[in-house]
Amino acid sequence: MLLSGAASVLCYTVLFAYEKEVMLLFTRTDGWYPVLPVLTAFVFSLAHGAFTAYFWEVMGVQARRPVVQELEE
Amino acid sequence: MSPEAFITLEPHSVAFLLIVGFIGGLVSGFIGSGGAFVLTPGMMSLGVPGVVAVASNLCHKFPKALVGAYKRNKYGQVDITLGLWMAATASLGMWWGAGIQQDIRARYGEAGSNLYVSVAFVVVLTIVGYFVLRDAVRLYRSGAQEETSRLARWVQSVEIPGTMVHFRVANTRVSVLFVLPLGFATGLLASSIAVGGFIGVPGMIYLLGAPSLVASATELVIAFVMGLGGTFKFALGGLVDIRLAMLILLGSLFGIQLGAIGTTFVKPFMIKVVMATVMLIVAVSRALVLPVYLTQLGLASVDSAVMKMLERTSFAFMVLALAAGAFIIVGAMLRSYRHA
Repeated sequence: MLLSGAASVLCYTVLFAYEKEVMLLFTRTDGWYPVLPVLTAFVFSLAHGAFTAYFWEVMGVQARRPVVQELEE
Repeated sequence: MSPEAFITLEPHSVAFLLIVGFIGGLVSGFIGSGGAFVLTPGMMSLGVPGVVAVASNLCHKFPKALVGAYKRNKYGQVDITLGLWMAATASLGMWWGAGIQQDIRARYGEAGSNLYVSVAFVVVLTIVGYFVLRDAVRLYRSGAQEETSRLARWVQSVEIPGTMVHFRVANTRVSVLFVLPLGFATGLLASSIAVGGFIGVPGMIYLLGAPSLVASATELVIAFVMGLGGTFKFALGGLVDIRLAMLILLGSLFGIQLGAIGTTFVKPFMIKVVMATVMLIVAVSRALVLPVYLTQLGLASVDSAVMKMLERTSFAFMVLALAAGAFIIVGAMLRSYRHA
Protein backbone atom coordinates (compact mmCIF):
# COMPACT_ATOMS: atom_id res chain seq x y z
CA MET A 1 0.00 0.00 0.00
CA LEU A 2 2.79 2.40 0.93
CA LEU A 3 4.59 1.79 -2.34
CA SER A 4 1.51 2.31 -4.52
CA GLY A 5 0.49 5.31 -2.40
CA ALA A 6 3.92 6.88 -2.84
CA ALA A 7 3.80 6.19 -6.60
CA SER A 8 0.35 7.78 -6.84
CA VAL A 9 1.44 10.87 -4.88
CA LEU A 10 4.54 11.14 -7.06
CA CYS A 11 2.46 11.01 -10.26
CA TYR A 12 0.13 13.78 -9.11
CA THR A 13 2.97 15.88 -7.68
CA VAL A 14 4.90 15.78 -10.96
CA LEU A 15 1.74 16.53 -12.98
CA PHE A 16 0.87 19.66 -10.99
CA ALA A 17 4.41 20.85 -10.16
CA TYR A 18 5.16 20.95 -13.91
CA GLU A 19 1.61 21.88 -14.95
CA LYS A 20 2.59 24.43 -17.61
CA GLU A 21 5.28 22.25 -19.19
CA VAL A 22 2.96 19.24 -19.15
CA MET A 23 0.14 21.13 -20.82
CA LEU A 24 2.51 22.46 -23.49
CA LEU A 25 3.73 18.98 -24.37
CA PHE A 26 0.40 17.16 -23.99
CA THR A 27 -1.49 19.47 -26.33
CA ARG A 28 1.03 19.17 -29.17
CA THR A 29 -0.41 17.43 -32.19
CA ASP A 30 2.81 16.56 -34.02
CA GLY A 31 4.84 13.36 -33.87
CA TRP A 32 4.18 10.98 -31.00
CA TYR A 33 2.97 13.70 -28.59
CA PRO A 34 -0.73 12.67 -28.83
CA VAL A 35 0.26 9.36 -27.25
CA LEU A 36 1.31 11.15 -24.03
CA PRO A 37 -2.21 11.59 -22.51
CA VAL A 38 -3.00 7.93 -23.22
CA LEU A 39 0.26 6.67 -21.69
CA THR A 40 -0.15 8.95 -18.70
CA ALA A 41 -3.66 7.63 -18.06
CA PHE A 42 -2.31 4.06 -18.08
CA VAL A 43 0.50 4.93 -15.63
CA PHE A 44 -1.88 6.75 -13.26
CA SER A 45 -4.41 3.91 -13.40
CA LEU A 46 -1.70 1.44 -12.47
CA ALA A 47 -0.31 3.42 -9.53
CA HIS A 48 -3.52 4.98 -8.22
CA GLY A 49 -5.62 1.89 -9.04
CA ALA A 50 -3.38 -0.30 -6.87
CA PHE A 51 -3.43 2.28 -4.08
CA THR A 52 -7.23 2.61 -4.05
CA ALA A 53 -7.62 -1.19 -3.97
CA TYR A 54 -5.36 -1.41 -0.89
CA PHE A 55 -7.09 1.62 0.63
CA TRP A 56 -10.52 -0.08 0.83
CA GLU A 57 -8.90 -3.30 2.00
CA VAL A 58 -7.19 -1.48 4.89
CA MET A 59 -10.50 0.26 5.66
CA GLY A 60 -12.04 -3.18 6.05
CA VAL A 61 -14.25 -2.96 2.96
CA GLN A 62 -13.70 -6.21 1.11
CA ALA A 63 -15.67 -8.36 -1.32
CA ARG A 64 -18.30 -10.38 0.51
CA ARG A 65 -18.13 -13.55 -1.60
CA PRO A 66 -16.89 -14.67 -4.98
CA VAL A 67 -19.90 -13.80 -7.10
CA VAL A 68 -19.07 -16.45 -9.64
CA GLN A 69 -20.41 -19.02 -7.16
CA GLU A 70 -23.76 -17.27 -7.02
CA LEU A 71 -23.97 -17.08 -10.80
CA GLU A 72 -23.40 -20.79 -11.06
CA GLU A 73 -26.06 -21.64 -8.44
CA MET B 1 -5.83 24.35 -29.10
CA SER B 2 -3.17 26.40 -27.31
CA PRO B 3 -2.50 25.67 -23.60
CA GLU B 4 -3.74 29.20 -22.72
CA ALA B 5 -7.21 28.13 -23.84
CA PHE B 6 -7.40 25.65 -20.94
CA ILE B 7 -8.89 26.81 -17.65
CA THR B 8 -6.97 27.80 -14.53
CA LEU B 9 -7.82 25.33 -11.81
CA GLU B 10 -9.50 26.88 -8.77
CA PRO B 11 -10.02 25.00 -5.47
CA HIS B 12 -13.79 24.75 -6.08
CA SER B 13 -13.20 23.25 -9.56
CA VAL B 14 -10.80 20.67 -8.09
CA ALA B 15 -13.30 19.78 -5.34
CA PHE B 16 -16.10 19.42 -7.93
CA LEU B 17 -14.01 17.09 -10.11
CA LEU B 18 -12.94 14.95 -7.14
CA ILE B 19 -16.45 14.58 -5.70
CA VAL B 20 -18.29 13.96 -8.99
CA GLY B 21 -15.42 11.69 -10.04
CA PHE B 22 -15.87 9.62 -6.88
CA ILE B 23 -19.65 9.33 -7.18
CA GLY B 24 -19.47 8.66 -10.93
CA GLY B 25 -16.85 5.98 -10.29
CA LEU B 26 -19.01 4.39 -7.60
CA VAL B 27 -21.99 4.15 -9.96
CA SER B 28 -19.79 2.93 -12.85
CA GLY B 29 -18.23 0.23 -10.70
CA PHE B 30 -21.70 -1.00 -9.85
CA ILE B 31 -23.73 -0.67 -13.07
CA GLY B 32 -20.91 -0.44 -15.64
CA SER B 33 -21.40 3.18 -16.67
CA GLY B 34 -22.38 6.58 -15.37
CA GLY B 35 -20.88 9.87 -14.39
CA ALA B 36 -20.25 11.29 -17.85
CA PHE B 37 -23.68 12.90 -18.06
CA VAL B 38 -22.82 15.05 -15.01
CA LEU B 39 -19.08 15.45 -15.59
CA THR B 40 -19.25 16.80 -19.13
CA PRO B 41 -21.84 19.56 -18.54
CA GLY B 42 -20.27 20.13 -15.11
CA MET B 43 -16.85 20.82 -16.63
CA MET B 44 -18.48 23.10 -19.19
CA SER B 45 -20.08 25.08 -16.36
CA LEU B 46 -16.55 25.57 -14.95
CA GLY B 47 -15.60 27.25 -18.23
CA VAL B 48 -14.10 24.25 -20.04
CA PRO B 49 -14.90 24.30 -23.80
CA GLY B 50 -17.37 21.51 -24.72
CA VAL B 51 -14.96 19.55 -26.89
CA VAL B 52 -12.23 19.63 -24.19
CA ALA B 53 -14.79 18.49 -21.59
CA VAL B 54 -15.75 15.50 -23.78
CA ALA B 55 -12.09 14.67 -24.49
CA SER B 56 -11.01 14.94 -20.85
CA ASN B 57 -13.97 12.87 -19.71
CA LEU B 58 -13.00 10.12 -22.17
CA CYS B 59 -9.40 10.27 -20.94
CA HIS B 60 -10.51 9.44 -17.40
CA LYS B 61 -13.11 6.94 -18.59
CA PHE B 62 -10.82 4.32 -20.11
CA PRO B 63 -8.35 3.97 -17.19
CA LYS B 64 -11.31 3.93 -14.80
CA ALA B 65 -13.02 1.21 -16.85
CA LEU B 66 -9.74 -0.71 -16.97
CA VAL B 67 -9.41 -0.71 -13.19
CA GLY B 68 -13.10 -1.59 -12.76
CA ALA B 69 -12.95 -4.42 -15.30
CA TYR B 70 -9.80 -5.82 -13.66
CA LYS B 71 -11.45 -5.75 -10.24
CA ARG B 72 -14.72 -7.31 -11.37
CA ASN B 73 -12.87 -9.89 -13.43
CA LYS B 74 -11.30 -11.04 -10.16
CA TYR B 75 -14.85 -11.70 -8.94
CA GLY B 76 -15.52 -13.77 -12.09
CA GLN B 77 -18.07 -11.29 -13.47
CA VAL B 78 -16.45 -10.14 -16.74
CA ASP B 79 -17.04 -11.90 -20.05
CA ILE B 80 -14.02 -10.57 -21.93
CA THR B 81 -14.96 -12.30 -25.19
CA LEU B 82 -18.44 -10.78 -25.18
CA GLY B 83 -16.99 -7.39 -24.26
CA LEU B 84 -14.52 -7.46 -27.15
CA TRP B 85 -17.15 -8.58 -29.70
CA MET B 86 -19.42 -5.75 -28.56
CA ALA B 87 -16.56 -3.23 -28.45
CA ALA B 88 -15.62 -3.99 -32.07
CA THR B 89 -18.90 -2.63 -33.42
CA ALA B 90 -19.38 -0.13 -30.58
CA SER B 91 -16.37 1.74 -31.95
CA LEU B 92 -18.02 1.79 -35.39
CA GLY B 93 -21.29 2.96 -33.85
CA MET B 94 -19.50 5.75 -32.03
CA TRP B 95 -17.79 6.87 -35.23
CA TRP B 96 -21.07 6.78 -37.18
CA GLY B 97 -22.92 8.58 -34.37
CA ALA B 98 -20.28 11.33 -34.32
CA GLY B 99 -20.91 11.81 -38.06
CA ILE B 100 -24.66 12.14 -37.49
CA GLN B 101 -23.97 14.69 -34.76
CA GLN B 102 -21.76 16.71 -37.09
CA ASP B 103 -24.39 16.65 -39.86
CA ILE B 104 -27.12 17.81 -37.48
CA ARG B 105 -24.88 20.56 -36.10
CA ALA B 106 -24.00 21.73 -39.63
CA ARG B 107 -27.66 21.78 -40.70
CA TYR B 108 -29.49 22.95 -37.55
CA GLY B 109 -26.73 24.48 -35.38
CA GLU B 110 -25.88 23.84 -31.73
CA ALA B 111 -29.54 23.95 -30.62
CA GLY B 112 -30.48 21.31 -33.20
CA SER B 113 -27.67 19.09 -31.99
CA ASN B 114 -28.71 19.57 -28.35
CA LEU B 115 -32.32 18.80 -29.24
CA TYR B 116 -31.27 15.57 -30.99
CA VAL B 117 -29.20 14.49 -27.97
CA SER B 118 -31.99 15.33 -25.52
CA VAL B 119 -34.67 13.54 -27.55
CA ALA B 120 -32.36 10.49 -27.75
CA PHE B 121 -31.93 10.66 -23.96
CA VAL B 122 -35.65 10.98 -23.25
CA VAL B 123 -36.88 8.30 -25.70
CA VAL B 124 -34.23 5.65 -24.99
CA LEU B 125 -33.97 6.14 -21.24
CA THR B 126 -37.72 6.33 -20.64
CA ILE B 127 -38.48 3.14 -22.58
CA VAL B 128 -35.49 1.08 -21.42
CA GLY B 129 -35.57 2.51 -17.88
CA TYR B 130 -39.26 1.61 -17.53
CA PHE B 131 -38.67 -2.03 -18.54
CA VAL B 132 -35.61 -2.38 -16.30
CA LEU B 133 -37.50 -0.88 -13.35
CA ARG B 134 -40.53 -3.14 -13.95
CA ASP B 135 -38.26 -6.17 -13.96
CA ALA B 136 -36.42 -5.03 -10.82
CA VAL B 137 -39.71 -4.45 -8.95
CA ARG B 138 -40.99 -7.88 -10.03
CA LEU B 139 -37.79 -9.58 -8.78
CA TYR B 140 -37.92 -7.62 -5.51
CA ARG B 141 -41.57 -8.50 -4.84
CA SER B 142 -41.32 -12.15 -5.79
CA GLY B 143 -37.88 -12.70 -4.27
CA ALA B 144 -37.16 -14.87 -7.32
CA GLN B 145 -33.77 -15.37 -8.93
CA GLU B 146 -33.01 -13.63 -12.22
CA GLU B 147 -34.36 -15.57 -15.20
CA THR B 148 -33.47 -15.42 -18.87
CA SER B 149 -36.02 -13.21 -20.64
CA ARG B 150 -38.37 -14.64 -23.29
CA LEU B 151 -36.64 -12.53 -25.94
CA ALA B 152 -33.20 -13.83 -24.90
CA ARG B 153 -34.47 -17.43 -24.97
CA TRP B 154 -35.64 -16.86 -28.55
CA VAL B 155 -32.28 -15.26 -29.50
CA GLN B 156 -30.46 -18.24 -27.97
CA SER B 157 -32.68 -20.61 -29.96
CA VAL B 158 -31.77 -19.03 -33.31
CA GLU B 159 -29.03 -21.21 -34.85
CA ILE B 160 -27.11 -19.48 -37.64
CA PRO B 161 -24.30 -21.80 -38.73
CA GLY B 162 -20.82 -20.34 -38.51
CA THR B 163 -21.87 -17.43 -36.32
CA MET B 164 -22.62 -19.13 -32.99
CA VAL B 165 -20.36 -18.23 -30.05
CA HIS B 166 -20.53 -19.57 -26.51
CA PHE B 167 -19.86 -16.79 -24.03
CA ARG B 168 -18.70 -18.79 -21.05
CA VAL B 169 -18.95 -16.27 -18.20
CA ALA B 170 -22.26 -14.87 -19.45
CA ASN B 171 -23.35 -18.48 -19.83
CA THR B 172 -25.10 -17.86 -23.12
CA ARG B 173 -24.64 -19.22 -26.64
CA VAL B 174 -25.86 -16.80 -29.28
CA SER B 175 -25.12 -15.78 -32.85
CA VAL B 176 -22.72 -12.86 -33.14
CA LEU B 177 -25.21 -11.45 -35.65
CA PHE B 178 -27.19 -10.37 -32.57
CA VAL B 179 -24.13 -9.26 -30.59
CA LEU B 180 -22.65 -6.99 -33.26
CA PRO B 181 -25.73 -4.75 -33.81
CA LEU B 182 -26.09 -4.44 -30.04
CA GLY B 183 -22.48 -3.26 -29.82
CA PHE B 184 -23.16 -0.82 -32.65
CA ALA B 185 -26.21 0.58 -30.82
CA THR B 186 -24.13 0.94 -27.65
CA GLY B 187 -21.53 2.99 -29.52
CA LEU B 188 -24.18 5.04 -31.28
CA LEU B 189 -25.78 5.95 -27.96
CA ALA B 190 -22.39 6.66 -26.40
CA SER B 191 -21.62 9.13 -29.17
CA SER B 192 -24.81 11.08 -28.53
CA ILE B 193 -25.44 10.86 -24.78
CA ALA B 194 -21.98 9.71 -23.61
CA VAL B 195 -23.41 6.72 -21.71
CA GLY B 196 -23.61 3.75 -24.07
CA GLY B 197 -24.09 1.42 -21.12
CA PHE B 198 -27.71 2.51 -20.85
CA ILE B 199 -28.38 0.42 -23.97
CA GLY B 200 -25.45 -2.03 -23.76
CA VAL B 201 -26.18 -3.42 -20.29
CA PRO B 202 -29.96 -3.91 -20.69
CA GLY B 203 -29.24 -5.30 -24.19
CA MET B 204 -26.84 -7.92 -22.84
CA ILE B 205 -29.37 -8.87 -20.14
CA TYR B 206 -32.65 -8.93 -22.07
CA LEU B 207 -31.44 -9.71 -25.61
CA LEU B 208 -28.47 -12.01 -25.05
CA GLY B 209 -29.50 -13.52 -21.71
CA ALA B 210 -26.43 -12.48 -19.66
CA PRO B 211 -26.90 -12.14 -15.87
CA SER B 212 -27.04 -8.49 -14.78
CA LEU B 213 -23.81 -8.82 -12.79
CA VAL B 214 -21.96 -10.08 -15.86
CA ALA B 215 -23.60 -7.53 -18.19
CA SER B 216 -22.69 -4.56 -15.99
CA ALA B 217 -19.11 -5.83 -15.53
CA THR B 218 -18.67 -6.59 -19.25
CA GLU B 219 -19.82 -3.07 -20.11
CA LEU B 220 -16.57 -1.87 -18.51
CA VAL B 221 -14.59 -3.70 -21.22
CA ILE B 222 -16.62 -1.89 -23.90
CA ALA B 223 -16.17 1.43 -22.08
CA PHE B 224 -12.41 0.83 -21.94
CA VAL B 225 -12.10 0.18 -25.68
CA MET B 226 -14.35 3.08 -26.68
CA GLY B 227 -12.70 5.44 -24.18
CA LEU B 228 -9.22 4.52 -25.36
CA GLY B 229 -10.08 5.05 -29.03
CA GLY B 230 -11.94 8.29 -28.28
CA THR B 231 -9.11 9.69 -26.15
CA PHE B 232 -6.57 9.02 -28.87
CA LYS B 233 -8.80 10.67 -31.48
CA PHE B 234 -9.15 13.83 -29.37
CA ALA B 235 -5.46 13.76 -28.36
CA LEU B 236 -4.56 13.96 -32.07
CA GLY B 237 -6.27 17.36 -32.00
CA GLY B 238 -4.50 18.41 -28.77
CA LEU B 239 -7.84 18.63 -26.96
CA VAL B 240 -7.26 16.53 -23.83
CA ASP B 241 -6.78 18.51 -20.60
CA ILE B 242 -4.77 15.88 -18.75
CA ARG B 243 -5.07 17.79 -15.43
CA LEU B 244 -8.87 17.58 -15.49
CA ALA B 245 -8.82 13.94 -16.57
CA MET B 246 -6.39 12.87 -13.84
CA LEU B 247 -8.23 14.86 -11.15
CA ILE B 248 -11.48 13.07 -12.05
CA LEU B 249 -9.55 9.79 -12.06
CA LEU B 250 -8.20 10.55 -8.57
CA GLY B 251 -11.72 10.42 -7.13
CA SER B 252 -13.22 7.92 -9.55
CA LEU B 253 -10.76 5.10 -8.82
CA PHE B 254 -11.75 5.24 -5.13
CA GLY B 255 -15.36 5.10 -6.31
CA ILE B 256 -15.02 2.32 -8.85
CA GLN B 257 -13.24 0.04 -6.38
CA LEU B 258 -16.07 0.58 -3.89
CA GLY B 259 -18.77 0.10 -6.53
CA ALA B 260 -17.15 -3.14 -7.71
CA ILE B 261 -16.91 -4.44 -4.14
CA GLY B 262 -20.56 -3.39 -3.70
CA THR B 263 -21.69 -5.87 -6.37
CA THR B 264 -20.58 -8.71 -4.08
CA PHE B 265 -22.69 -7.38 -1.20
CA VAL B 266 -26.09 -7.09 -2.82
CA LYS B 267 -28.60 -9.21 -4.68
CA PRO B 268 -28.15 -8.97 -8.48
CA PHE B 269 -31.50 -7.22 -9.01
CA MET B 270 -30.06 -4.16 -7.21
CA ILE B 271 -28.02 -3.48 -10.37
CA LYS B 272 -31.34 -3.10 -12.20
CA VAL B 273 -32.78 -0.88 -9.43
CA VAL B 274 -29.82 1.51 -9.59
CA MET B 275 -29.72 1.51 -13.38
CA ALA B 276 -33.45 2.19 -13.76
CA THR B 277 -33.38 4.95 -11.12
CA VAL B 278 -30.47 6.73 -12.76
CA MET B 279 -31.94 6.34 -16.26
CA LEU B 280 -35.40 7.63 -15.38
CA ILE B 281 -34.15 10.66 -13.43
CA VAL B 282 -31.76 11.53 -16.29
CA ALA B 283 -34.68 11.20 -18.73
CA VAL B 284 -36.65 13.76 -16.66
CA SER B 285 -33.60 16.03 -16.61
CA ARG B 286 -33.33 16.00 -20.41
CA ALA B 287 -37.09 16.36 -20.90
CA LEU B 288 -36.94 19.59 -18.88
CA VAL B 289 -34.61 21.28 -21.38
CA LEU B 290 -36.53 20.27 -24.51
CA PRO B 291 -38.54 23.56 -24.50
CA VAL B 292 -35.24 25.50 -24.34
CA TYR B 293 -33.84 23.92 -27.51
CA LEU B 294 -37.23 24.12 -29.27
CA THR B 295 -37.30 27.86 -28.50
CA GLN B 296 -33.74 28.32 -29.79
CA LEU B 297 -34.82 26.63 -33.03
CA GLY B 298 -37.86 28.92 -33.28
CA LEU B 299 -40.30 26.02 -32.83
CA ALA B 300 -41.60 27.20 -29.43
CA SER B 301 -41.63 30.37 -27.37
CA VAL B 302 -40.38 30.28 -23.78
CA ASP B 303 -39.35 33.28 -21.69
CA SER B 304 -35.55 33.61 -21.19
CA ALA B 305 -35.88 33.59 -17.38
CA VAL B 306 -37.89 30.37 -17.58
CA MET B 307 -35.29 28.89 -19.95
CA LYS B 308 -32.52 29.66 -17.46
CA MET B 309 -34.54 28.09 -14.66
CA LEU B 310 -35.22 24.97 -16.77
CA GLU B 311 -31.52 24.59 -17.56
CA ARG B 312 -30.56 24.87 -13.89
CA THR B 313 -33.29 22.45 -12.81
CA SER B 314 -32.19 20.03 -15.52
CA PHE B 315 -28.59 20.04 -14.26
CA ALA B 316 -29.83 19.61 -10.68
CA PHE B 317 -31.75 16.51 -11.83
CA MET B 318 -28.57 15.13 -13.46
CA VAL B 319 -26.72 15.53 -10.16
CA LEU B 320 -29.71 14.01 -8.36
CA ALA B 321 -29.61 10.98 -10.69
CA LEU B 322 -25.99 10.28 -9.84
CA ALA B 323 -26.46 10.98 -6.13
CA ALA B 324 -29.55 8.73 -5.99
CA GLY B 325 -27.58 5.91 -7.65
CA ALA B 326 -24.73 6.30 -5.16
CA PHE B 327 -27.17 6.54 -2.23
CA ILE B 328 -28.91 3.27 -3.19
CA ILE B 329 -25.57 1.47 -3.64
CA VAL B 330 -24.11 2.61 -0.32
CA GLY B 331 -27.46 1.99 1.44
CA ALA B 332 -27.69 -1.54 0.05
CA MET B 333 -24.08 -2.25 1.07
CA LEU B 334 -24.68 -0.98 4.61
CA ARG B 335 -27.89 -3.03 4.96
CA SER B 336 -26.10 -6.13 3.73
CA TYR B 337 -23.20 -5.43 6.12
CA ARG B 338 -25.53 -5.12 9.13
CA HIS B 339 -27.40 -8.32 8.30
CA ALA B 340 -24.19 -10.32 7.92
